[in-house]
Parts: sequence; C-alpha cells; structure tokens
Amino acid sequence: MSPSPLLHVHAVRKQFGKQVTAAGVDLQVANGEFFTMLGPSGSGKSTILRMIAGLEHPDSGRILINGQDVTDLPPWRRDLGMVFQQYANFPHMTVAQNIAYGLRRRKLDREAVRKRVSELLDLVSLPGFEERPVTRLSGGEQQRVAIARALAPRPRLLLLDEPLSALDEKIRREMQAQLKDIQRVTGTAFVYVTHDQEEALTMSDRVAVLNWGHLVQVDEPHALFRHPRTKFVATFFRGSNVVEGKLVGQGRSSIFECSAFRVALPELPSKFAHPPAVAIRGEDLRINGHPSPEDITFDAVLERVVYRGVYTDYQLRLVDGQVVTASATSGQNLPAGQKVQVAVRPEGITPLQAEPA
Amino acid sequence: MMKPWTRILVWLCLAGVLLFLYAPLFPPLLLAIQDPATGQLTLQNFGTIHSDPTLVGALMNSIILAAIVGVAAPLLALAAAQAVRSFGIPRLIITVILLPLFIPGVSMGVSTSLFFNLTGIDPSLLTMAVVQTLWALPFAFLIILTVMSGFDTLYLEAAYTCGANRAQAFREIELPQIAPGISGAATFSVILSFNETIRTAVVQGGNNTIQTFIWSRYQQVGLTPNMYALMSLIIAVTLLLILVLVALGRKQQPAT
Repeated sequence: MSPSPLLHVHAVRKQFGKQVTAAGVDLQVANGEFFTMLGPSGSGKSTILRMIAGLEHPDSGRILINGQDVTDLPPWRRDLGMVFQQYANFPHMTVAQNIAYGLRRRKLDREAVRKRVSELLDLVSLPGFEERPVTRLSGGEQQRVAIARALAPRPRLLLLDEPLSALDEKIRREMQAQLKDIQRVTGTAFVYVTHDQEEALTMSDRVAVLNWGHLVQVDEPHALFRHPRTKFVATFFRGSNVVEGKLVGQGRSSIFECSAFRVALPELPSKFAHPPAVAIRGEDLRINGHPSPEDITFDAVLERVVYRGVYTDYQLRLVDGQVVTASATSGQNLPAGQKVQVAVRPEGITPLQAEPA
Repeated sequence: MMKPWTRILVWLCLAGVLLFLYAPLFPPLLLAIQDPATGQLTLQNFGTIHSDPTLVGALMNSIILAAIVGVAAPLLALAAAQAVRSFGIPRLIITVILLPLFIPGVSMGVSTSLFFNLTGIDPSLLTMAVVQTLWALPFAFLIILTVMSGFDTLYLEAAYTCGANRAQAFREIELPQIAPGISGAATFSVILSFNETIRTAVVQGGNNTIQTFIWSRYQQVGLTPNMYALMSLIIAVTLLLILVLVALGRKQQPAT
C-alpha cells in the first residue's frame, strides 16, 4: 500500500447560494511538491484553498492531511501556514514580532525565537529587518515577511492565495524565482493559487486548472501547455488555437476532419468535445517552411501580422473561415493578404475532450 | 485664493459661533472664583466643596457610577458589535437596536422605574447604574462598531493559520487594533454617566449624583458658590476628557 499523500482532498463540494465553487473536487499533494491551482476568478480555487486551511467548511467530502481527517478541525489545529494576497501582516507589530507570532504557542525560549526569526529573514532576503515597523515596508518586502511568518513554525504545508497578485510586474518576477527557491530549500509542500498562467507554469511541479468548481485538468506544466485536455484549458493558455471540425469513422482509427486538413487521431479521449475540436499551439504552425513527408499541410490566407517583440504573430484564415494564429521567432517578412502554406506535425494536434459537467 | 476681507468675515463668523457655544459656560466660572460677600476674586469656593457632606456624597456616587458605566457599557457594546459581525446582522436591525436613543429621557426613566417597581427591585446605586448603562450603551456600541468596521478580519484568519485560537487571536491581534475605539467608548460612557440627570433622577431613591443634587438644589433653594466651583470643575474635566477622545482618535489614524 502506498503511503498516504501529504494532502488529500476527497470529493469536496461547496456551494454559496446557487454558485457551486467546488463540485466534487479530488486532489492529492505529495510531500515537498509545488502544486498550483490555476483558474479565472470565480473558478473556486481560493475557496478550495480556504477549505484546506479550515477557514471554510465543505458542504460534503473530506480533507485529510498525512492521512488524518482534518475536515472538522479549526485552522489553528491543522499545522499549516498560509500567505494571503493582501499580506495581512499585523500592523501593530514589528517585522520580528510578526514572524515570531506563530512560535508563541511553542514553548520556545527567547534566544531560540530570535535565532529562528533571523534564520527566516535570511531565507526571504531581508536580513536585519527585525525591528522595522511592518507598515513601512514595500509591497514585496511585506509579502516576504508574510511568507517568513507562515514558514516560522515549520508547517508541513504552505497555502498561498494569489500571493504575488498585488505586486507590480518586475517584483512579481523576482518573487516567483525567490518563492521557488524557498520552496526547494525548505522542502515544504506548497499549494499555490493563481490566475496567472505564467506564474503557474514557471513555478509548479503540477498544475490543476479549475473552472466552475471543477478540476478540468491536473498535469505537469509542460504537458498542460503542450496538450490541453479541453477547450477551456486550451484557450486559457495564450498561443493555443482551437480548430473545430467533425469526426469521420469510429473506434481506434478515428479521423478528425476540417475544411483545411484531416488527421488520424492515435488515441481518442473518452468523451470527445462537441463539436469535435483539436488544439494546436501557435508555435507548432510553420508558414512556408519545408514540410517533411509526415507533416500535415494546408493552405490559408495570411490576414494580419502582429509584431510582439520576441515573437511575431501571423493571423491565418482557413478555407472555412476559422482563424488560427501562428507564432514564430524568425520574423519572416510576409505581406498580409497573401496565400500561404502551413505545416504542422501530427503530434502537435491535440484532440479535445468535453468539459466536465 | 480668498480675498482678505472674505477671510476676515469667515473668522468673525467662526468667533461668533464659538462665543455662542461657550458664553453660557462663563457665569458659573465667574461665580466660582468670586467671593459671595465682597465680590473679590478668590479660590476659597473650591476649598469649601468638601465641607458639604451631601455634596461630597453625591460626588462619590457620581464617580462610582461613572466607573461602573465606563466599564459595563463598552464591554456590553463590544459583545454586541462582535455578535453583529459574526452573525452578519443587517443594518436595519442595528437601527432598531439603537431606537431607545430616540425615546425621551423621562419616558425611558419612568418606564425603567416602573419595571423595577414591578420586579420588586428597590432604588439603589445599582438601579442608577443600570439606567445609565442603558443610556450609554447605544453610543458605546456605535463607536465600537465604527472602529471594528475598520478592522480587517483577514488579520484574524492570518492569526488562526499561525496557530492562534479565537480567544488568542482576539486578545493579541484584534484588541490592540480596536483599543482606541474601546477607550473612546469608555470615555464617552463616563461623560454620559456623569452628565445624565433625568433618567437617573427617576430611579435615584435616596441617592444623589452631582447632577441630581445640583438640579434639586437649583429648583428648591438656589445654588451656593461652592456648587458653582464644582460645576466649573465638572466642565473642565469634561472638556479634558473630550480632548483625550480627540487625541485617541488622532492616534488611531494610520501612520503614513
């Protein structure tokens, strides 16, 4: 029998009035894992996190930590840490008092507390900040104090609710790298909630994409990015194209057909999207290249060229009017309005499932 | 930029309003520092306050009552405000709770007195304390509710996830942040208790407070210089307490 996972959320349901924020959610997080819940606002990701924390109670289902059922335990008995979007540092305390707050309940002597606080300030790169009033810090500094405070009692699990959303772009990127480092150094399991796809992809070991209280797909970042399972996941990540068509034939030899091309799908999902659709990443579409024999090729009209710095986007109209966008770093100088040949490798075409209901 | 004469006019108006507000306070002050026989300036009226045992007794009662009300009203108000937040009680019900504020003092006092009569409770300092607490409670409740609405309950959630239970989180996180409101409510309750006359007079029995004493003396025989001295002191103390309130309110503003 495999050891029980660090966190096990089992068939958890939660409803606020008519809005379902968790529709029978199942997920497991392993020790030391960086697990991210990604979704638009209202997808239920924060509510699920708050139920894990014990700040909300599920309508049904169980939450287990290290195999122990904590569903009915208050937050202060769950031995976990939490970081909030708005920092929530206690304004009437210094930095050191904030960080030491979680240590109050552990009968530590003053020297041990002082040592732990300075250890954590080193960890979050704020050495010597002990006596500063917490209200005088910048947003990034405040959030690092909040992270240190949550980690001080060495929780087995750290919950982070959009911790970088209130910060500006540059600091957010720095903090992403730093958070990942902190996670690696401490070996604490992180459950991270965000609506930012880049944040999810750069930091996580696994990402769960949520929509309307459902876990739509749980995968490693690469798999999620390359092979979205549903239309929702595909369109959530920038640069993915969804092409609709129809299925010809049944069983293992199904062929997906649209006006521009047809492709044999090696493995069919159990519940195919309706209408049938496939996802193709923009960078997998090659314009006027030298297609190899196994490539699928089709004609399209180049409608618009959008320069985006590293990438250039080419908006292509297929024969039946569907529009896809190809991205390339080469920056070919192609005039709009021209007919072009597009090539894609068959493995770049991902069949899409129906959304979970 | 304002024209100079407009500016002068504004200041004159302000001076007029202040004069109107504070002029009535001056006669007792002047009588307090005047020798009743010779009309000369003197401080001896203040010295003779303690020579009147009824007056001293009334003063003691006022102080005891103010202490009780100053503690009881904020505590009850805090409990009520916490309940309002926890149970998400709508604004309409809060307004209904505050309605006793608008009932005339005499009606309120008489009905309380009848209530005590029917339940067989004799007039005492306790009944006076109850009436005054009822009077101060809505004010204290409003003050504490206002301060608490400025307190983000996210701090409590942060404390819970740091391992603090409800009582610890309240004591260590919420209380220090809403303390200015609670001391404000206490100060206000003390002032209200000290100044309350009508409701108290109805349930006072044989006990006097400074206010009921001055009121009855004024109606029966007129006031003596040492009572003017006492009134001056009360006015001074009240103004002082108000200044403390303002200072607390200023401290409560977040440092920027």
